[in-house]
Amino acid sequence: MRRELTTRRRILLAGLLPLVLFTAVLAHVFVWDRLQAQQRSFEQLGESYARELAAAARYGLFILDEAELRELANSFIHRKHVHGVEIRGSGNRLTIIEGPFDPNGREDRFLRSYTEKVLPQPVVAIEDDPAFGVVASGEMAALPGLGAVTVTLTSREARLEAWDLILKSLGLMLGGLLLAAGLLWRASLRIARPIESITGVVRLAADGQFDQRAHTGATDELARLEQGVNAMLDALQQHHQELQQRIADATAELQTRNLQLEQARHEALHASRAKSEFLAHMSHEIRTPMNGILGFVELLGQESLQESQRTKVAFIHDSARELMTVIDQVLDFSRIEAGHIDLSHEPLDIRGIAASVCRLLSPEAADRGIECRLEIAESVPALLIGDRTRLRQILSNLVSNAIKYTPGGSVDISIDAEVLPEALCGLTLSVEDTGIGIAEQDLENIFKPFTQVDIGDRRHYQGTGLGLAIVRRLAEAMNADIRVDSKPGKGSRFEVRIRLPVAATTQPLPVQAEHRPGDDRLAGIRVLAVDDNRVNRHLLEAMLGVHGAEVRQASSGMEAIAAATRERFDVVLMDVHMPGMGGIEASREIRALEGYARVPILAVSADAFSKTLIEREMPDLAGFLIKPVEEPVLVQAIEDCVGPRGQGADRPSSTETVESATLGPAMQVQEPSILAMFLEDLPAEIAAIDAAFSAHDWRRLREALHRLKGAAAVCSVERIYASIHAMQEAIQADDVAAAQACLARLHEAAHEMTGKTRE
Amino acid sequence: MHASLGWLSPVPAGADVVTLIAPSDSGIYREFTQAFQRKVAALCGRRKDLEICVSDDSIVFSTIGDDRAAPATGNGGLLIPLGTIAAEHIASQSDVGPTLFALIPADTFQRLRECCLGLDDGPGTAIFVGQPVDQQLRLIRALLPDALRVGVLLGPTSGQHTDEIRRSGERIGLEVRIENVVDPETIGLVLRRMAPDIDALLAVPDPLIFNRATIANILLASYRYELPVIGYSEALVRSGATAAVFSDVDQLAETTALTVLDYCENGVLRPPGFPLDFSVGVNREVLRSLGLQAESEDALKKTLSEGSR
Repeated sequence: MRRELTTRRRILLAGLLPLVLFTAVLAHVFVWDRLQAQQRSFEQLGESYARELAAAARYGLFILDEAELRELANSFIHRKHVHGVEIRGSGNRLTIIEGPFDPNGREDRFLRSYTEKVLPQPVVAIEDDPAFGVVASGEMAALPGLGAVTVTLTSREARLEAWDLILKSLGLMLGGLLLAAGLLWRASLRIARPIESITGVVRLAADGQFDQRAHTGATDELARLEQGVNAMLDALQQHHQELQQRIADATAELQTRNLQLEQARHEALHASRAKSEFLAHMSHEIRTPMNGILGFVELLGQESLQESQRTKVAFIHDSARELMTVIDQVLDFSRIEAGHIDLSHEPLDIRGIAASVCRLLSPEAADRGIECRLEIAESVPALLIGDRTRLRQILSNLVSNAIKYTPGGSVDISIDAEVLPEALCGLTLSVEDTGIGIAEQDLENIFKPFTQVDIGDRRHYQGTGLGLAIVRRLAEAMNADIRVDSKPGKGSRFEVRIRLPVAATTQPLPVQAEHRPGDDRLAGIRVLAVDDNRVNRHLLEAMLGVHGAEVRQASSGMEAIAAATRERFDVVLMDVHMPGMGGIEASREIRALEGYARVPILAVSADAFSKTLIEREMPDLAGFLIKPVEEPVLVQAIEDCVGPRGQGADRPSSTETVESATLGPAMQVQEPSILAMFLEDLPAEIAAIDAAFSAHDWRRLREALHRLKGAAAVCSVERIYASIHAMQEAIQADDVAAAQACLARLHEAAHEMTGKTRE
Repeated sequence: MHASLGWLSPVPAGADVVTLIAPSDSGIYREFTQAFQRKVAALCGRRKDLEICVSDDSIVFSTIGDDRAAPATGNGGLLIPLGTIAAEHIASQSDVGPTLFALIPADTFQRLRECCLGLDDGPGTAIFVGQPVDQQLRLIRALLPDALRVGVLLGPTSGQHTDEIRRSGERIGLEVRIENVVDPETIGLVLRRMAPDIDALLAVPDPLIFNRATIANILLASYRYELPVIGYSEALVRSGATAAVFSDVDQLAETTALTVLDYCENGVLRPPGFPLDFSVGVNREVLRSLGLQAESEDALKKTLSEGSR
């Protein structure tokens, strides 16, 4: 992979490469020139020696003086580079040789000879003399030679000098190159360092650090580059800061928006919670008077009435029940729409549930001349795991819907099961009627809420239009599949298929039996009724006492524990919300007492939505009762726990929790004695609320409000109840002024209540 | 006016012109011609006794090969060949009229006479360059009173004067040692052998021995042997000879002019001879190097003149 060169290396390369080439060429030229010059000098030296020797030997050759010529030759033999000297006279009259060997020998490649003729030295001056120039011009043309000299030089020393020259030149060249390389290195540093500095600053800027500036110390073009980069960084930093400021502004705005959204979400949650509480309160507020109406109508029906009066009472009772059903459906659908579907997973007896539904709705079917039949396949397991309340609701709605739209004929309920792997059961619930049927184009609309198909005589098929919608929502929550086949005029068939785990215990449960008020079915059963509200305690005692139960009251958790310690009870009715020790904690303490490990404890609460939470806290509760508790529900629940006594002793008990909305008419115990008891306690309760409010003891205030609110609900004192509820919300919202206003309305309601009572 | 030149015979005065023939018109020939014209004019103006004189128009200068030389031959005019080359050119031609050889050594004239011009009855005469050897010997005596032996190197040309030189020495009181040189390459060897036995070296004109190639070595050798060299020309003095007696161009031209005027006057050419006037030259540096002293050149000339009489 090609490696990128750094600026420093490029500068060095750009500087050294031509320098090396130039130096090499220069050195070559210089050395070559010097060698040539040396060679020329050598040649010139040889020629000079020869000429000099010739000139010096001219006289000796002229006079043919051998001694003088030998001395002359000997003087030349010691000269530099001279290897041999030869002086030869013309006509071989004289030959003188000086040197180690014959200079004529050319064997040695280092030897070189230079020969010079020895000519007489002409005298030009005589040319102008008449004695010469005129007379002897012809004879003066030729100059006879005196002889010749030969000087032989050896180039050994010259070669050594040449090598010395080459080595010195190479040394100088290398030294120059090293010096130049050093200077170039320094120069490259002076150039590259500012560039690297500027590059580093730019790199930091690329990483978002704009506060660094280039300081190269350069004074040339790099200084201008530095100024430009720094100016650019200034601009970038300014832009960056502006951008940061914008981001900060946008972030602040976003945070504001988030706060607003959070506020909105909080408000929405608050609204949702308020809606849930509203639903709970509505459930409570609507059903409480309805229970009162139904209860008193039933009590009225037990009295001796004329036939016309009895008929009117029966109409009132039917209308109240119808209204109760509508209200329950609306409330159920509201809870489902609000997402309050908490499915439980508990053992259930689908056979018993089906039989119960059939039994409860059979009277209505009989009134309409419809035969209600139940068929359960042998393959249906005795116990399954699921939400028995929701299953009961699905089946009850389907059957009720079938009865409603069947003018005559039958409604067949069938339960079938298919064994699936991994201990699963494919349960099929089907309800088939011979009713008016549904047109094909209306099949998609029957499961929509508040929707009724177009039928001829709507007066005979009134309803909320929520029954099938609730069935579909519950089926979807259980991952169940619901189908409908129908033919107008022929009838309809609704089928729900659901997969449920099979419980380990397969013993089938017997079908529940009806009960009647005022019997001794609870005879001998000792019940501990725990409630901080005196009215509630007395109501429970009144409802259970009718059926022969022995009831002991406890106004707090501690009192309940003390009573359980002193005396053995068969059933404990535990109010969940009590001041001081709450119902859950008191139940745990009682459960820990000797002999109470298996004693059923039934939770009682006015908050229908807290059932799941309470069941999670107390998994071994025998049941959950919602205030106001209807007598049949209460009696059935106790029977389910301890088994029937007296007239209903042969009836099996059921462990399932029952809700008043799914049962038949209840007896609401609201006797004048209880209302009088409420009015008797009312001043003290109001005083306790005033004291807690004045002392800003919010915990004690909440306990006092809760206690009075429960009693007000039982006694159906609506205005007092509403004032307490409003005051609870104000305290919850830390709105002291609103709480003050609510307290004033509470005083007015109490005053009005006591005034009416006196009247 | 044309001078009529005759050769040993009377010639009517002013009949012909005087033609000077030279190898070239430069150098010593031009110098001599100009000096000759000046001398003729001067003599004509000074000697009132001359009835006929040579005018400038009658003096014609010609070079060898020039057409102007043609009428000068054989038409009665006087020819004056300048130098050896012109002399040999004229001598090689037939029917040559009166001729006055100028700027020619005595030996050369003698050789031309023997080969071409006829001996004593030849048509021409000559004015020799230089001075007779007597004058040189007298100069030795004047410069070196103590000198007894004089060496002389003679070549093929000058060898004929051996006796004459020896006799002249005897007359002046000098022992003349003569060495004949045949091979010019042995001049030095001969001189080296002769040097210990002589007190001075007498240079006699001979192209084999004294030429531009040998003079320097002869003078150098003589100097190393501390031998004064007495020459025969001014150039030798300038080259390193100790002294010389010679005739310069003016002196040659004057003698030539006198001869021409005599010929014009009398129609008869004088016999060949040396110039009437001469000069003495001394190289003071060489003289001083040799540790010698000498009178002035004029004094020496006077001594020589007195001796020659």
